[in-house]
Amino acid sequence: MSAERRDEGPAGEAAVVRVEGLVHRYARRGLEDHPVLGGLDLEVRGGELLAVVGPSGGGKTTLLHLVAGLIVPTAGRVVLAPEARPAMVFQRPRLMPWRTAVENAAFGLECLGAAAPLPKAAALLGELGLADAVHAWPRELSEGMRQRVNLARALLVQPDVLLLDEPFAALDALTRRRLHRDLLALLRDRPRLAVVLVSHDLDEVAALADRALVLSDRPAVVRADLPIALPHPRDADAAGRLELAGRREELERLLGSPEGAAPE
Amino acid sequence: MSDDPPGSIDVASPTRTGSPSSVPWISVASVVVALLVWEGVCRAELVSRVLLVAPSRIAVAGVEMLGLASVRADIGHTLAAFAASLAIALVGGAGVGLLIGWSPVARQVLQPFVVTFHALPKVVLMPLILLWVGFGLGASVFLGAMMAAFPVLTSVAAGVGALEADLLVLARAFGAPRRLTVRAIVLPGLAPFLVSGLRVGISYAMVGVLIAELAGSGRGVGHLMLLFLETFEIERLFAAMTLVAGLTLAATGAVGVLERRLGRWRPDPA
Ligand SMILES: Nc1ncnc2c1ncn2[C@@H]1O[C@H](COP(=O)(O)OP(=O)(O)OP(=O)(O)O)[C@@H](O)[C@H]1O
Ligand SMILES: [Mg+2]
Repeated sequence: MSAERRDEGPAGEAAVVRVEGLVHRYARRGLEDHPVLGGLDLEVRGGELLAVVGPSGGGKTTLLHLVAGLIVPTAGRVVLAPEARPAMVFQRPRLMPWRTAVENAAFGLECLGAAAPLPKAAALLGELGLADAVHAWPRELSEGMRQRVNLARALLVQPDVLLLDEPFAALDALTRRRLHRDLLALLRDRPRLAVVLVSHDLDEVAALADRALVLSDRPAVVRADLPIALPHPRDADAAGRLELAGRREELERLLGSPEGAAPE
Repeated sequence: MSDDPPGSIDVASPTRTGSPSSVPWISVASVVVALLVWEGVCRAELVSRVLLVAPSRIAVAGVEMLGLASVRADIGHTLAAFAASLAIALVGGAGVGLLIGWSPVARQVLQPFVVTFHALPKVVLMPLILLWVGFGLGASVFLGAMMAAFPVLTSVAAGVGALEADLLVLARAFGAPRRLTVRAIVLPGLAPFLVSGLRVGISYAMVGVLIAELAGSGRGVGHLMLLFLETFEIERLFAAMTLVAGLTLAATGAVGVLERRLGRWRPDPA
C-alpha cells in the first residue's frame, strides 16, 4: 500500500478544498468579538488525508464548520471544487434517539432524496461490523458503535470531502485502533475522497495522516505543514514503528509541548 | 451509556415490541379490596345509604340509566362538548405554544396574557361566558377549551425550547429539506411534550365541560347530576359520577397507549 490511497499520489490531484485567508471572529453580546481564526490558508487534494492539530479551543471545530458551510467566515473564503459535496462527522455522534441505527445512518441519503436509503445504510453498517445492531436504538449502542453510525451516515452520501471532528476522541485505545483500521479500509475503497481529520491524538495523526497542519494559538494560523508520507500499515514492522515514532516526535515539537494538545 | 462490547445486543427485527406488558397485579388487588370494603361498609349500613351507595347498586343503577334514551342523549352531549374542547385546546394550545417557543418577539408580545390567563381560575369567567354564548354546548366548549389549552400550550412551548440544537445543525450539515427536518427531528422531539400536555388537558377539558353543565346549561351529564340530586335519585347520581370518572380514565388511558407507541425508543421504565 502506498502512502497515498491513489496510485498517482495526491500531487497530481486537483484541490477539492481550498481555504484562503480565512478569518473568523465570533460576535459576543456585550463583549468584544472573539477572534478565533487569524487568516488561515490550506488545501486538501482528492485522495489525501489532512490532519489538523492545534491547541484546545484553538478554532479547529470552527474551521470544519466553515468548510462545511455551517457558518459564514468573517473574512477570506472556502472554495470547494465544483459539485464537491462535503460531509461532516461531528465530534459527538448526534444520533436521533428515536431512530434506529440504520435509520440514523440513512439520514444523509434521505436528505439527498436517494432511493432505498435503508438497504444501502444497512449494507455499510454491516461492513463496519454493525450487522447485528442495525435495528438497535442509539441508547442500546456502545460509544464506539455510535461513532460507526456517525461515520456511516457521512460516508453514505458519497462525499468528496469528509470532515472528521475528533471522531475517535471519546473511545478507548483499543476501539480507537480498530476504528482507525476500519477507516483506512473504507478510504482504500474511496480513492478520490479528501479527508480533513481534526485530532488531539498525535499517535492517531501519525498513524493516519498523509499530511498534518499544526495550528498556532488563537487566533489560529498555520504554524507548520508536515508531510507524513509513510506506507500503510505503518506499524507493521520495527522499522515502520520507528518511523512513526519519529513523525510523532516531530509533531510534538512543532506543537510546542505535548500538553499544548492535551486531550479535553 | 452502555459499554457493551459490540455484538452483545440481541436485535433481530425492526418490528420490536417493548418488554411484555406485565399486569400490575398488586394495583389490581388493591382496587378490588377497596371496592369490597366499600361494598361491605354499605351493606353493613355503617354509613347512611343516602350519603354513600354500594358499588353493586351503582352498577345496577348505571345499567338501568343507560337504557334511557334521554340519558344517552345527555352523555352524547357531554362527550361532544368534551371532544370539541379538547380538539380546540390541542390546535390552539399547540399553535400558540409553537409561536411562543419559536419567536422571541411573539413570546414577548403574548407572554403577559398567557401568564395572566394561566393563573386565572377559569371558572370566574363562567358568568361572562354565559353572557356571551348563552347556556348550552357553546358554554361547555368555551370553558373546556379555555381550561385545557394552557397545559398544552406551556408543554409545547417548553418542547420547542428543549429541541436539540445539535440535531438541527446536523440537518443543516446534510442539507435536509425543511419538510424532512420537521418530520425527522422537530415532530419526534415535540411529541412527548404534546402528549404530556394532552394528558393534563384531558382532565381539564372534562372539568370545564362539567362546570358549565352544572352552572345550568340544561343538557349533559352535569345537568343530569343536578337533576338526580333534586329528585333525590342518589344511586343514579353516583352512577353519573362514575360514568364521568370512567370517561376521563378511558381518554387518559388512550393517551397512555399513544405515549408508549411514540416512546418506543426510550428505555423501558424500570
Ligand atoms: N458558537 C460560538 N460562539 C462564540 N464563541 C465560540 C463558538 N464556538 C466556539 N467559540 C469559541 O471559539 C474558540 C474556538 O472554538 P472551537 O470549538 O473552534 O475550538 P477547537 O479547536 O475545536 O477546540 P477543541 O479542541 O477543544 O474542540 C473557543 O474559544 C470557543 O470558546
Ligand atoms: Mg472542537
